[in-house]
Amino acid sequence: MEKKTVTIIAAVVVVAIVVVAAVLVGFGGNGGDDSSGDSEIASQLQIRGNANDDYTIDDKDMEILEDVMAGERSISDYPLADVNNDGNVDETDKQLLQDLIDRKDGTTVYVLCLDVNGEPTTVSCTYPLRDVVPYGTNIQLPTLYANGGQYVAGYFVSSYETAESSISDSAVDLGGSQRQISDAAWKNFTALDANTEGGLGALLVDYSGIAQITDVRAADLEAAEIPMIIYSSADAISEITTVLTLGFLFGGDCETIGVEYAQKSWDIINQIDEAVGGLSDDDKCSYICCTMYIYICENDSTFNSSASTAGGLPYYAVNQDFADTYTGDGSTKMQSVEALSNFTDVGAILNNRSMDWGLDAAGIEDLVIDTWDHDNKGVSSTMYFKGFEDRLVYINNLLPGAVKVAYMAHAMYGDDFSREWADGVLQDFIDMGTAPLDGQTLDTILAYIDHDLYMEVTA
Amino acid sequence: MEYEEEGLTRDGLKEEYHHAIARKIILLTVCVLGIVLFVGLLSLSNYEGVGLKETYEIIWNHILGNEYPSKSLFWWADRYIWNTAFPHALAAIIAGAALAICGTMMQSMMVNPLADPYSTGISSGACFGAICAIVVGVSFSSVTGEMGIVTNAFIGAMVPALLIVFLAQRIHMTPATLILLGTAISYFFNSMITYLMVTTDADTLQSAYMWQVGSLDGMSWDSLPIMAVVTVIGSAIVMLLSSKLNVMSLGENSAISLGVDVERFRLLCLVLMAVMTAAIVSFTGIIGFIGLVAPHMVRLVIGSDNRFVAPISMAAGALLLLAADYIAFQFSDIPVGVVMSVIGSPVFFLIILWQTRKAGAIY
Repeated sequence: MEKKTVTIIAAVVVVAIVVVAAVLVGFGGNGGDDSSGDSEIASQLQIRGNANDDYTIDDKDMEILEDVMAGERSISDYPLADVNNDGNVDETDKQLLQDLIDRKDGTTVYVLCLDVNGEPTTVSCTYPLRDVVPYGTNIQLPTLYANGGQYVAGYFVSSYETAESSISDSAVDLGGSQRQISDAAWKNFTALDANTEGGLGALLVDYSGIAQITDVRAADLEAAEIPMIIYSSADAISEITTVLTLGFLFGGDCETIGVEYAQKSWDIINQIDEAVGGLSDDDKCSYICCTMYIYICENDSTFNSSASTAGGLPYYAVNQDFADTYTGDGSTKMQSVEALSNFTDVGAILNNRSMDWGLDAAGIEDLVIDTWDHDNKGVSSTMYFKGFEDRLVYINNLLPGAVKVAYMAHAMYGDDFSREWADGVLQDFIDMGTAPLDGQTLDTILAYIDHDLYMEVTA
Repeated sequence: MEYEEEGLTRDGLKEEYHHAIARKIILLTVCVLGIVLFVGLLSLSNYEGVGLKETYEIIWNHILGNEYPSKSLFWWADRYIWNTAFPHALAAIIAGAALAICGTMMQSMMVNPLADPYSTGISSGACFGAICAIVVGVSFSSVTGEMGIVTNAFIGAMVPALLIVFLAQRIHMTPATLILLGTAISYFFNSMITYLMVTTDADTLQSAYMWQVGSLDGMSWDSLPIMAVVTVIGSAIVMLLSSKLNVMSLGENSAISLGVDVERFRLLCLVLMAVMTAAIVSFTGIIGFIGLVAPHMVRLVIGSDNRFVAPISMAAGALLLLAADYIAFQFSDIPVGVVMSVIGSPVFFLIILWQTRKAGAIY
């Protein structure tokens, strides 16, 4: 064979390998660090100026704003083109948007969020957001997943030593609790504002804890001009939006990681949707969500929203007795070990439990046994779930929303989504470098407990 | 001459009288100074760089209308003192005083040292009303949130009170009957409360339990007018009735023989006590032991004359609740009701032991 022919063949082989590799990396599910992945990021950045309702603020938004100014598009179709929320789109909005596109320090950002009554509102804060205080696990973890722990000046409660170490190691403990901000804790908050140069950047509140922001405290915030950014981000989809928005507000690497987090999350959600989203209700796996071991999540619970994102069919949709018994958006404690006895045809029981990580092998084993055999005032959880062992799983509630959704999908559609696949999703998020998972491995996180794992550790 | 025959000289009696007066003055002074001290401590604590002198300076400047630079430590301290510490401390003073004077009245009227403002089931009724609002979301008023709970608690507290008043007009009501009726009503409401609480979710359960334990957290100026007006008017009436309460504490037969219309008087006291207690617990939740312990502490020092026990018990009750509140504040998340129980039970135990040694009636 001629030297020239060999060279051509070698070149063709190399090109073929590169093309195949590119296809595998680019379209191969969980692989790749590129944030411009396969799926569209369906989450919308909750910032005024994001005129096209996508996941970032860029020149495309400026084009829309200029069209609105020129009268070629209507402000009613693009309300976020009104960057400063004054009801008009003018040169001031244009200048503000340009500052946002340039990510200029000191720019006033108008953030879409909830007010104390749960209604949509806009609050302003300064870009980049610094010295924040989060209240509520459902906003604290998204803050950390956006790598915002470094910008947390104080916190009211930190229950998970490892997962929340990025704040508990450096920020001020204000001394509240999961369900209460005492007067003393609020006083510590005000002292922190006084002692922070330039004052606190914002109070980030999970809406479920809004009762703690009394009228007097809201008046304090208003008088001190501390913005209160409220989100309800317990379910997986809302959590992605919160991480994306907080990442943008923190700026720099946080914005990058927020977009990457959203991209990976939507990759997973879309992957699940493609596989099982088209199933008829008859073919879908029905589920009941539980929390705190023996509390059944009510119909409108956010745990159910996440499980539905994972392709499941809520059991209340197929059983009227269940639907009538568990109305509401909270959870109801099982009144007896027979509470589930009328619902034996359910496909899966997804039990959500928050479990800190940084565990060794012995710690994992102890936690598996403690969870599965948990003593509920003298009655083991195994009694409540007798007959459901093969359908019962515990999923770690501290994990990123998309990871929880992946494990839920595995629990309901094990043939489509293997355990290795779900573990791969978790590994992807670990590799992303988001602070709560920093330094962890699949062996230090107890993400998922099923009967097989329980039998394995108790053998 | 007769006194001298009994071994009591005129000078001795005078000296004893002066001692008794001195004890009353000293106790009242101690209580008032204690109240001032704890109000100061509640206003001061935890702001580094803001000491006692600066606190007075802040208060003075606030009165003069001088303002501090926004978001400065003194600016926050000013807001804290006027918007949180003062209403918080005033709520403690009003609640402590009201519960203590109600306890004084109940113990004398019932001739029972274990009686307190909650003996007629008022606390259980209030608790049931509040928990209906928290757990079931059923409110007697169109107002939701905090004021909905307050309204529910007030109406719930009035239910057992009105029931007892209604029954009192139809059957002969002795103190023992009252206590037994109160116990029965409490059991009924407690069973309903237990049912509601075991069937709710953990978050709601926590809120319901926090209310049940009693807390002064979150008290604002808006909470005070109703509590204050009811307490001031109610206390004034109790003090006017204190001579009759002295007669009642001698026992029903003695009171009747001394011309007291016992049943009507008891009814009046019950209504008064019910309104005062309901006005307090509907805002604070159930804070125990104040109404039981404060009157006993005072009687231990100054004797049983209700003309003095009533007002000084108010001061002692206010001081006790302020002290408990200060301790609760230091531990940040402990409700004052818990601290009051921790302090109240051993204090009550010691009072009983002390009184037993001195061998005397403790009411």
